[in-house]
Amino acid sequence: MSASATTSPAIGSLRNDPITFEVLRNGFRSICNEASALIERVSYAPTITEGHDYSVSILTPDGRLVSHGQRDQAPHMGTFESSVQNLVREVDTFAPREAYIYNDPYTGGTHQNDVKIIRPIFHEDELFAFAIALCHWPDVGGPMYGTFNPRATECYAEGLRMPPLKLYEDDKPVKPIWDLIAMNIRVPKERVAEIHAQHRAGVLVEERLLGYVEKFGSKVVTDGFEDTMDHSERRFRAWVARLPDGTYEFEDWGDRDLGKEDEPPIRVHLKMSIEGDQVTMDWTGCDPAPIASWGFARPALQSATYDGTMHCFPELAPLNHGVVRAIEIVSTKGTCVDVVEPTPVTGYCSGAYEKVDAVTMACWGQALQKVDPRRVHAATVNLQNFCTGGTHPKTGSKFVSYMWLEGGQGARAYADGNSFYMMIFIGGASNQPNETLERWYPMVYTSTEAVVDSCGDGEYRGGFGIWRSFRATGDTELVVLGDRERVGPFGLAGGTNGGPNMVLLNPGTDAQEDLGMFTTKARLRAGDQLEFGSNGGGGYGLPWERKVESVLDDVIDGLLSMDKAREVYGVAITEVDADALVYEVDEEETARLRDALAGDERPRGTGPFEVNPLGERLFGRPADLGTSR
Amino acid sequence: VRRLRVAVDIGGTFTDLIAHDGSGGELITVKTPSTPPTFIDGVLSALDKAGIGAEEIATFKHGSTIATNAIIERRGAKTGLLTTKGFRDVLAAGRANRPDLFNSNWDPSPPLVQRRHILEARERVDYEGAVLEELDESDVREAARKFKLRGIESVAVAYINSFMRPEHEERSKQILREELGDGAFVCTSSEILPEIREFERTSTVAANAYLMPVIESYIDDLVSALRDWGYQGEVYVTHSGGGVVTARAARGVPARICHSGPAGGVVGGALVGGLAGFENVITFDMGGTSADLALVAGGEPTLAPEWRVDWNIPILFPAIDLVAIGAGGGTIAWVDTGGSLRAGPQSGGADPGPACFGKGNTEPTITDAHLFLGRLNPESYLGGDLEIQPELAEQAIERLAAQLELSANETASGILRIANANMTSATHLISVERGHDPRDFALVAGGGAGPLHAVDIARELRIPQVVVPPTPGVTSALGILQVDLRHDLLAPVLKQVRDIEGDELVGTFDRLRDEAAQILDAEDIAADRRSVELSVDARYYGQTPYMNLRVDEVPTSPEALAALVAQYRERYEAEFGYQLPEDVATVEIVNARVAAIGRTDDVELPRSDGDTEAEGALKGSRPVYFDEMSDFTDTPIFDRSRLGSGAAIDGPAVIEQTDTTVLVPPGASARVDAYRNVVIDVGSAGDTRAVTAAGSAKGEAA
Repeated sequence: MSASATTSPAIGSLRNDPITFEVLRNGFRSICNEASALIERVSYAPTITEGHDYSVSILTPDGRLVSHGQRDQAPHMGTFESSVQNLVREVDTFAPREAYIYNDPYTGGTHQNDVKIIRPIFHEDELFAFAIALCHWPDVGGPMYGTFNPRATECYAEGLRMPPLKLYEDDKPVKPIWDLIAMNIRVPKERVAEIHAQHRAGVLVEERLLGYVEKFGSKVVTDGFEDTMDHSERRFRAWVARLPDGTYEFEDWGDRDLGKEDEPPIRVHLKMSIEGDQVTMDWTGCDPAPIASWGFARPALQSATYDGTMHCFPELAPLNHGVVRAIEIVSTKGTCVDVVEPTPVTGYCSGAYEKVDAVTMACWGQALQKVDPRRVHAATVNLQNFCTGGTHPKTGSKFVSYMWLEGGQGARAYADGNSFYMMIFIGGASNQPNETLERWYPMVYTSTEAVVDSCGDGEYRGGFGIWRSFRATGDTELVVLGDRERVGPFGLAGGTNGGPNMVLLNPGTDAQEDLGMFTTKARLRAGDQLEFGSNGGGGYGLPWERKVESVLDDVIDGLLSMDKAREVYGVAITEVDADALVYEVDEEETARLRDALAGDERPRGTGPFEVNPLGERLFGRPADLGTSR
Repeated sequence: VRRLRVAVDIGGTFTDLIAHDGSGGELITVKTPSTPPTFIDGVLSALDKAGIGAEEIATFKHGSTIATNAIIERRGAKTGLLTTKGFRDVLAAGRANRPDLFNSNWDPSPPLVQRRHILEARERVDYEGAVLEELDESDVREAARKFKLRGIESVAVAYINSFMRPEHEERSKQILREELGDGAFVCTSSEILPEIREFERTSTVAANAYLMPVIESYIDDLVSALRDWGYQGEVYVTHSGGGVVTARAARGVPARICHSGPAGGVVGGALVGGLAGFENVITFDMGGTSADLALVAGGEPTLAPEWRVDWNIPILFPAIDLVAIGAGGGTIAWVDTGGSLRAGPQSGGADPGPACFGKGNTEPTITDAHLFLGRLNPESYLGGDLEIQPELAEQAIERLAAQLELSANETASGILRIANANMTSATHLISVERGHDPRDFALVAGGGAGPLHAVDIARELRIPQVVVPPTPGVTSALGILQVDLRHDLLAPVLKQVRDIEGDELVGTFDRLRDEAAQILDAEDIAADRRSVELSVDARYYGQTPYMNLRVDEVPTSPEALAALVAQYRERYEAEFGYQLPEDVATVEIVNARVAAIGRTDDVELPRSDGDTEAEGALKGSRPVYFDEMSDFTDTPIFDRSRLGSGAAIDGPAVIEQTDTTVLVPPGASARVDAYRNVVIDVGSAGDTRAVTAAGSAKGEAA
């Protein structure tokens, strides 16, 4: 391992020459990209083929991460080290052409739906590497369609948990194992395609990696693994060393613990300490584990910490063990970010993952704001896991769907957040076309349009959330496991928190019901209208310092109401001829409004459109950071 | 009077012209500077320079980057979009994904239609084509009124599920025309591209509307300039799928002629490869900023069902399946904070260009590395048109070498190794990963930098031979000369084969064939030149990507449908190495496709068998660095223009020509064939391994 205090480029410490090193480093990444592309082409569920919820990685025989695909999903690969390290502990001897299936969240993963197939790769009788291919399976059994269970108080009420099981021997499926799995999940036939795809991805990684071995020799390739990690570690530590020493703290909240009677909010807190090129992430200030499915086990805590970090240092991609070993992560067992069996975890991603990720970025942001303000980000839309299931009235076949919504990106210290943005930790994932979903599931979509006024406000505003609402055309059961209906994605430097996530049944009718973020088996009848809307991103800086033209542009585009422009941004706009898009700004009135707003009597708090007090206190405004326009 | 077929390739910098009389006579080739923004003067001056009279032209085909550039530079029309009520943000939301996992500084490029100009009409069709809500015509009229007030120049109509039932879009178009005037630019998603997936379809029709006014005036100006000049015949335009359409037809589907530049290059590469005796080729074109690679199997370029102008602007027309890599002569090498040598993605492009241009870039580029290693002639770079300063390249390389603690030689050759490895990885995606064995292919190299890298890349991929055409700079124009007239039509099917009853597909295909016949009539294609190709897009039900399968006739009998399924499963296994069990995955027909083709005669290039000696073309020698020797070695330099058929050259050697430089490394041997192509045997795999092993052994010692 390289000397941890080194902060300058250390060419001499490379095992390979710098040219071979770069060839291999790029090669490892392109192998993963190719295997990812294969999964996209040959897997089955829209979740995967349209939604891209899958990942492929290469790890060393002792379970250190070497590389991953460029558009894979960060929550996955951040847990792969735990997965392989536990696999190696559990299995005495590996043989070529085997593959193991594995989804236990406590020892090596995220949640039960993320099913890994792990292939040991041999070179001449010696274990040389592991390939992991993970797909989010739309269902792994349990009482709820899609396995997410907001009412679970134990993992046994979620879905099938699998320790590492040998699913392939001599590259042939081990039938009893598959039969056991198939008997315990919904629509198992569809999953045959995923298993094939995941297995085949491992074979591809093996072929391509052994191609490099044949060309360069195994020592050079193994050295390439180590060099790749050292290289990332050096670059990461060089960054940390540039940041002011000190302690940086931030906190964020989950809406509520559904398992407790008073449904209290759940606190996530980080104390990040930087000393020289050392960084310690201390999560011991987090609340105890909730009763309901919101928290996660330690592997996912690590994953979220890495993800938040990588978003502040994106040039370090792909993530590998070099960054992993340079971050010390401290947590307390039994807290919401380090839960133990049987605390449920299917809701980990919309729950703890998103908060840990955002808080990590906010702590780095404090340290980075004076050094490079382009790396400072307010919080982004929160995932809502949205599953429907039932029997299709036309085809008579059973279905389970898994969907999510894009929403507003958090404002950056130098620019607005983008609208209709995939969650921060799954940038490679996509939305799923309405026209495809309507063919598969009994629903008719009624909207794909912005949630007006949903942005967190600021000199730079957050992005806007989206409505993707539909009418049921057959009886459907609905499960929702989300968050940030009560706690908005936080704004910074006086910017407000973004608008809420929303799930509403039949709004504006007598049968109106706010289903909210933790819905268990709501029954939709044919004709029911379901409104599904997402968070706006948090804002950055003071709204009344936003450029007047930018406010006017949002009004003309129909994203911002004239009322909000006036009340929040202090811009007085008159409609002259809306059809011709002629609007006027009353400059005098605007100056007066803005003066009055500068007294700043806005509510402080963590709710949507409130001013996050920590974000306000700890972050410099664009004018201070030199990013005002 | 000669009867010449003329092809003109209008690029951003140069306009290339090739003319040919179809009888195996000499090709006329001309290169002139392009003349933006209209480009027409450049075309006329090329014709003039070539000494071609208007009465001599039998056909005039051309390719142009104007459509692609209009989108990239956002110089299209002020465009409006009319969509289904509630779906105003389909276009801006896109697929909501990002190209890089961790990069929160990334921003999508602005949509082609601003949200303020996206208006809605009440209407709704379900996934099977049933009307759930009738079109509210007053909404359409209201939208038309607003578009008019706002000075909107072109309107796209895209409704949900319109590909299953186009009536609402068609009626809306009629109304918009009534309100906006007959000449108004209006196009609908179902006429442009009746395919499932609302965002991709909307994006395509929006791009089409955005381009209509620009392309119409471009085409009208060009045609009238040619008329004034004296040419009265048909003017053809190339499209992304590797064919041409008449200028008249291109006015209605301008999005089709985007991305046509690379198509010419690939078809040209296939033609050259075919003449050199290779039906299977990988074309490799490396210029100043990027390299394009494409695969041609059995003489047919591989087509992809879509391509993207930008990450978030897909266009769903068939396009030559290209891999573009940010590696060109201007690609900059640098050392990152972890001490690693990187090549790109930054590029000096043409201006300031490489360090040796002395125009302000001091960082070494791929061209600087070649110059430093003796591969490029400092006296006559690009035929001497451009003065270069080798000492600037040397200084740049040495600065980098000092950072890396390597010798300057190792650094310069290292830059090239990294670029080669990146290009090799990309080539894997279109070859090995699609079930093709590179050993069955030849690499056809073009562009200013391609023939310098070709042998190294071929060796990495175990491609046995490299072909460098006599004038690689005009391969694209040559391709344009060769391509057929081709219109691609499609209709959605979206049915599992097991649910298809009897002659259900016949009606769909008949409609497409009628349309094809009408198009060929309108394009004035003689009966003996016509062909109509039928195919279906098929996939396992549940998957997203599909494969295109050619069929000789419309499958109607259970046997024919079963054969189609078998054909799909076979192709799938060839590509992915396994089949899904039949009880798991049934096969779905996604689209029916018909290609209406007007065939062009094959271009017969001049051929001369000879047994010229290479010595006659020897113009001297200079020290050139080769990895195989880890040193400079005195290397003979040949003049391509004096190399006749039959000449043979063993590496190491350098062959210089005005538009490129061909590197023949040690272990490789070149010969000139009857078409004056340089065909290089890259050396056996055994030699290659030995060479690479030596290279890496050196690396370990370093």
